[in-house]
Order: sequence, then structure tokens, then C-alpha cells
Amino acid sequence: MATLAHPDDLRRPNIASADIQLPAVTSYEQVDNEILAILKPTKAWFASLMLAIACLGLGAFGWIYQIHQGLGVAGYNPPVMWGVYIITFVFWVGIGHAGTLISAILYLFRAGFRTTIYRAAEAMTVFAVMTAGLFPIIHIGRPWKFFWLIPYPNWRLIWPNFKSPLVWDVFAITTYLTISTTFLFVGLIPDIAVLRDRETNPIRRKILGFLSFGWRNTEREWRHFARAYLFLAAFSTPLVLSVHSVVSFDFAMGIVPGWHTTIFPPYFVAGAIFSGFAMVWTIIIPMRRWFGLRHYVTLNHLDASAKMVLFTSLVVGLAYMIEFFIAWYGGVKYEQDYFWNRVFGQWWWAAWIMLTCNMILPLSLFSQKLRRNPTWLWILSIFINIGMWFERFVIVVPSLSHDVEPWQWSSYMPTWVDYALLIGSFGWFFMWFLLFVKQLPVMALAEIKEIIPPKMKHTHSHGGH
Amino acid sequence: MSGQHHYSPPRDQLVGVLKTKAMPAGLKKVALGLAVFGLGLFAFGAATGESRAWQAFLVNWLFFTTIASAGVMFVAVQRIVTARWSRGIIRFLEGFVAFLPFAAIGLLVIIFGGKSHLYPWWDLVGTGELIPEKELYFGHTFFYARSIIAFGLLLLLQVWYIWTSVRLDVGVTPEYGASWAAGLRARMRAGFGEERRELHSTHSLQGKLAVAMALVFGFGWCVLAWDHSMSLDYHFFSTMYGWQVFMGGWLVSLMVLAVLLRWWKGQFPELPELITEKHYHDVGKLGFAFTAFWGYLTLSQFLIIWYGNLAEETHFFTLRLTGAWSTTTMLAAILTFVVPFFGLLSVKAKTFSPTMILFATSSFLGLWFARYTEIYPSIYGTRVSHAPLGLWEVGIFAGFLGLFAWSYAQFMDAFPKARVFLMTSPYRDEVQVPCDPVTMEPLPAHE
Repeated sequence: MATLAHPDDLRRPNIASADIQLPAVTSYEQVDNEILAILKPTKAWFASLMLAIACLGLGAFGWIYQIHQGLGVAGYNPPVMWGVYIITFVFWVGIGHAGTLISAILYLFRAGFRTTIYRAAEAMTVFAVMTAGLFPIIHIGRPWKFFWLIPYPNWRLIWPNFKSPLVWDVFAITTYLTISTTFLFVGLIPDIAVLRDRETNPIRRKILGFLSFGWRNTEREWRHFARAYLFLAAFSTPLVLSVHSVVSFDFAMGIVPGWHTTIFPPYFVAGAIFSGFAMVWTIIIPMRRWFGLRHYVTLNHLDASAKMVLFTSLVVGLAYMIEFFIAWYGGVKYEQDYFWNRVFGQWWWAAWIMLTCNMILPLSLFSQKLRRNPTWLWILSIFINIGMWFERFVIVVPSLSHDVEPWQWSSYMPTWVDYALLIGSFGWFFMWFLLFVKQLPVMALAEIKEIIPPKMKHTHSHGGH
Repeated sequence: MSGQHHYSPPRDQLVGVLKTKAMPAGLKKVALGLAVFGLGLFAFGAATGESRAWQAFLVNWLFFTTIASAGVMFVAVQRIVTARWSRGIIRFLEGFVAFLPFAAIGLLVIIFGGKSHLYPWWDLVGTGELIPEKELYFGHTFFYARSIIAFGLLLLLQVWYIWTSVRLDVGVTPEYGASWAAGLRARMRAGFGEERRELHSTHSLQGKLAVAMALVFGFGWCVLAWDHSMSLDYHFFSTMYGWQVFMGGWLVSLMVLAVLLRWWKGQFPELPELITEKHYHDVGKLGFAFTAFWGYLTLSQFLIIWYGNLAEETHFFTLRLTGAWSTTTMLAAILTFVVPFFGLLSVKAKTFSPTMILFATSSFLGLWFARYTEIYPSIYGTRVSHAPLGLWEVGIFAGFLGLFAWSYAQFMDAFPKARVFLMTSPYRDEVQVPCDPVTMEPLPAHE
């Protein structure tokens, strides 16, 4: 067990001290045994995986049908030419934000409650961005030509239009995916070494050895690891802000009523963190229950993350109110009409789902009792997920269907193909996540070990160095 | 404790050093002199009907008040996140609260005295020249009510919060300090109970106050920014405006703290661990981070308006980027963002005092130009060929600076200059995890 030992003097400064954080976790062996025990597949896990794959299959069928029949089978109804696909794209990009916020920004801020949740959140980020990335492709008429978005010299002499925010998106999201995947992987290296040391199957052992870069737990390795991790955290931090800002530019750069508003970038970022945290709850609350991890993800951790959710909810709520106020104050009648139509007109139901789920229900988190009630947090997380999907619905559809010229006002109704692809996206996401939890540790072994008191150095023959 | 070291000297030793240090009398005199000169200049201008005195007053009021208010907000945020790193240094920021009562008076002077010198729409209300929405929003009574309620609530919460914070320290130290506050200190000591009980009850109360303050800060400063900055160009509107205004104050309050820490460090050679290089680095990082954030907000707002290219929005920036105003606008962008952002990238630049002071000063001046650029071009438009920047602006700036420094010095002399309680109490770390304020026991960590 060479990887268990850890030099005392090389502790990373940004790991918050937590002598009081995890009172029921006392030794390195306990951490390894309890967290690695999750890796053993169970029947319930197989059943969930099958369900996820079935959903994915439904989505795949819908997509193949759409490719065969043409985009007309989705619910597009001119001028509403952005529908469920773009909504779902923004939804999943948003989900992807909490992971990097938790792993990078909270790391820089030395916030202790991130330690046991960040790995799951980071994996969620990577899979959410992978899911989001599919939707612009699904949304184009000839998806096999998606690579035309990437600028490279070619015989067609076609070059992407760099003035288009949609091209900025391509860069923002591929950068984000690259950095967040690297960040996830770098954090995993010492943990993969633990898996390698416990592995008996020689082939798996070889693979794990390769993935851990031959980690030997030396001082030098830890030093490089800590620097790399810190630098990646610093690189990721501006990305948390920039990616969703660029996504918001897809809307804000247009002069469509309800889209063209300067608050969009920070408001999208706050909303993304809000929805991402909700998805973290959706995943981690059942996980701590089913995998027996209540003493790792404690009520104090949930309480702290609930405060984060409450804060972002209030920021989003303030942004909603400012949008209403400025639409009224500005005196532009298209804007005024749009906001009226959004809340009391054709789309009132969508707007009220959004306002209830994102602004009103999270106010319950002012109560400490509810912040420390995992059941309520889980229920709330489902409402927030729904609310944030509808937030994007409310941005996309009412604006397009109720543009400045009344002759082209119309409606929009998704078809079964839209729903199939929406369900398929959840299947795709959860398939990857479920595969992840049985292959790699869902909590950072190394970081948890860093906050529990180190074992006394005694005459153990497996001493680290 | 994972590399974190929280300085905790014996209480007697800490108090013994703190109470021997008064703010230098010379500094207070200079500050008071500046205040008297600058505010006298304003009074003269106001009495002679000079509009620029009013305009310079508004610019400087907005500049200094956002800094003071955001500084106190930062203090409250330390409670919300139960920060430990800042215990030794946060009192140096808490002193900003002393400026706020003066800021409240300044606001009353602006809204009741400034009127048609400042707000181009003031005389149009009721004439039918304004669209109905603005007729309603700029209605004079509604306008007064908004400013007074928003700032009044904020003032109440910020003063109350700092009161609770200072009370803990006054409660556990023997009587000393400036005589003007002897009555206040006596009131703080009255009813001060057992140490552990006080810690828990204060922590609990502060949690509520801090959250309420955050709400009022966010909503209140949006309204104040619309009314006293954005409305000066009453055809312009931008949803991000309020956030951009108060985040500027937030940024510069941290930059000012970075400079103050250097000064205070020199005042306490007996307590070498009170302010360490780690604190310099941490405050420097925050200054850098919020420089980036300010740049992000500013660029986002500009980019969206530029790309949208709608006349009702672009006129605001066209005016500021051409003719008389382009220099001050560029100064604001360069001094607040470009210089400190690139300057503060390295660790050394944040911990080496000359560079940190240089970049903090750059940020401070840059934000002043940003405030100037928010207000002056809206009032003067294209009517001037040079940006009016002279004795009025500089003199009244000096007056506000003097008042700010003087009120800060008065506060620091009146109360303990560090959080004695939270640095020395044996119970100080109990509130790091959620506790029941009545039983004082930690809540169960898990089911």
C-alpha cells in the first residue's frame, strides 16, 4: 500500500483544514475500503445502466428518423427555428458549470465543503459538456458536415464566419471540454495508482499503471502534482465565466426582443452554477444513501452547497427582475410587449414554471432545517432542473415566436422526436456517469486523506518512502 | 491543520499592543484639512450656483460611497462563508463603515440640493416631455423615497453589523480609546455576558444580518446606480448597469485594503504575525480576481451593445469614446483593468509592496475616472470640446478623500484595531461548523 502514505510537509495549501469536517472518517484504510467498495457492480446498477441505455436508444432512434426524414419532423415552426435542441444544449452546458466551479474556484477559495463532492461534480461536468456538444450537431440539417465549423484550410475555400457568436461557441465549448477533462484526469492520477496497487488482474493492472503515469508516490511527484493541479484550477476559473457568457452571446448579440440585454453574460453564469449544483444534488444525494457515504458527504456539506444554490438563485431572481424593470423603464414597446407576453400571454405557463422553480421554491433554503434535509434538497433539485430547462425555453421560444413583426408571430410545439432526443440526452449522460462510478473512485481518495490526521509513522513495512 | 496557520496570540499581549497605538495626529490633521478645504469648496460652489460643484460632488459621492459600502459588504461576506484567514486583518476594512453616515448626509444633499444641476430630467417631470414610464419613475416623491429607503436600509444594516462585530472585542477588552466613543463602548459592554454564549449568539445574529445586508446591497445598489448614474442619460438603459457599478466599488475596496495593510503592518512591529505575506498574497489575489471580473463585466456590456448596434444603446458609448470624453474613458479602462490585470499576474507583484501599491493606486484612480465617465458625459454631451476636469473635481475629490480618511481614523481610534475576540477566544473555532445557537453544540454532521 505504498500510495497510502503521504509526506506531511507537502500538504497542498488549498485543501481546507477539516479536523471537524469528517468526524466519522479516521484512517486512510477506511477511506480506501469504503470508497473503493463502490466499484463493485450491483444488480441495481446494471438495471440503471440498462435503463439509461434504453433511453439513449430511444434518442438514437429519434435522431436516425430525423436524419432520414429531415429536420421537419422536429417541432420547428417558422420563425421558431430554435427549439428543444438549442434549449437542451444550453441546459446541459449550464449543468457543466458547477463541476468546474466546485473543483477549481472553490479550490482557489479553500472552501472545505468541496472535498468530497468535487470528483463526482467534475465527472458530471465532463459528461454534461459531452451531452451538450451533441445538440448543435443534432440541430443542423446535415449533421455529418459538422466539422465545417472547425477552421482548417480546405479545397472548398470555406472558412467559418468569425463574426458569428455560434462559431465562438465552438471554441468556447471545445476549450472548456479539453480543460475540464484534463483537470478531471490530473486529479485522478494518485487515485488511479491506488486502484492499480489493489488490482489483481494483470491486464487491468497494466492499463491502470499506464493511466497513473507510473505514479510512485514520491515527494517530487506530489510537488509536481500539486502545482499542476493549482495551475489547472487557475486556468479553469476564467472558463467558468467565459463559456456560459459566450453561450449567452448566442442570444444577446441578436436584436430579438428579450435576447438583446446586457445582463445576459453574468446572469447565464449564475444560472448555470445554480442548475449545475442542482444536478450535483440529484446525483450525490442518492449516491451517499445507496453507497453508504453519508459520513463523507455530510449534512454540513449539503448545508454549504445549499447556501451556494440559494445565492445563485437570488442572483438569477434579481436578474429576472432587472430584465422586467429595464424593459418597462426603457420604453421600447417591443420589449415591453415581449415581457408581457412572456408572463401573462401565450407563454405564461412556461414563465411561471421557471419563476416558481428558480425563484420561489429555492427561497425555502433560508430555513436551516430544510438546508439540512437531504430529501427536500433532492426534491428541490428536480424542480430546479425543470425550472432551468424552462428558463431556456422561456428565452428561446417566446422571443422567436413573438418577434417585432406581428405578421410572423406563431407558436411552437415539440414533437415526439424532440422529446425522444431530450430523453436520449439523459440516457447518454447517465450511461457515462454510471460507467464512471464503477470504474473510478467517485470521491478523491487523495484529498480526503489529506484532511484526516496522518497515521503515526511506525515500523510498518509498507512505509511510503 | 493542512498548512493553514491562524495567528492567535495571548489576549493580554494583543490588547497591550493594540491600545498603545493611536492614529498619527498629523495624519488626522491633514485629513481634516483636506475635508474642510474640499467640502468648503463645494459649499462655495453650491452657494454661488456653480453646477460643476454639484457634479463633482456626485462623482465623488458615488466613488467613495460604493467603496465604503462594498468594503463593509466584504466584511459581512467573511461571516457568510465563515472565513478564518481574514480574522487578523478584517478590522482594517470594517473602519470603512465610519464614512457611511457622512455618505447618507451627502446623498440627502444631492437629492434635495442637486436636482436640476445634476438630473437632466428633473425639470421635465410633469411637462409631458418624458415618456409615461419615466414620468412615473422619475416622479420626484418616488425618487426621494427610493433613494432614502434603499440607502437608509443599507446604512442601518451595515452599521448594525459592524456594531455587533466591534461589540465582541470591546466586551472582552478593558476600557481605552478615543473619548468621543466612550458612550458607545459603555453601551456595548452593558449586558455583555459570558464569552462562549456571546460568541454563539453574536455569530447567529451576524449570519442573519449579513444575509439581509447582501440582499439590500444587491437590490439597493442597483436602484441607486440607476437613479444616480444611469438616469443622467435618461434615454439609455442597460440591464447590467447596476452590477457593474457596485462591483467597481467592491474591487477598489479590496485594492484599498491591500494598501492599508502595508501601512498597518508598519504600525505593529510588535505583532509580526498579525499581517503576514500570506495576507498580502490573499488580498492581492482577490484584487486581481475582481479586476478580471470588472473587466469581464465591462467588456460584456460593451460588446453586447456594440454588436447589437441599436441607436438607443450605442449613443451612450459613442459619446464616451469620441471627442472630449475619449481620454477619460480610455484612462478608466486602462487604469482599472489593463494595468492591474497584467501587472498582478505574478505572485511577486502581489506580495512586493511597491508593485502592489502601484497597481492598487492605478485601480483606485481608474475607478474614479470610470465614475467620472459615467456621469459627466451624460450631463455635458457634445457641448464641450474638453472634458471639464479642474479645481472643482480635484478639490472635491480631495475633500471626500480627507473625510474618508478622517472618519476612518476616528473609528480606528475608538475601537480595538483587530478582532481581539475572534483571534484569542478559546471558543473561536466552534462556529466553523453549523451550531445550535441555544445549546451551542454542533449540529449532527450526518444522519
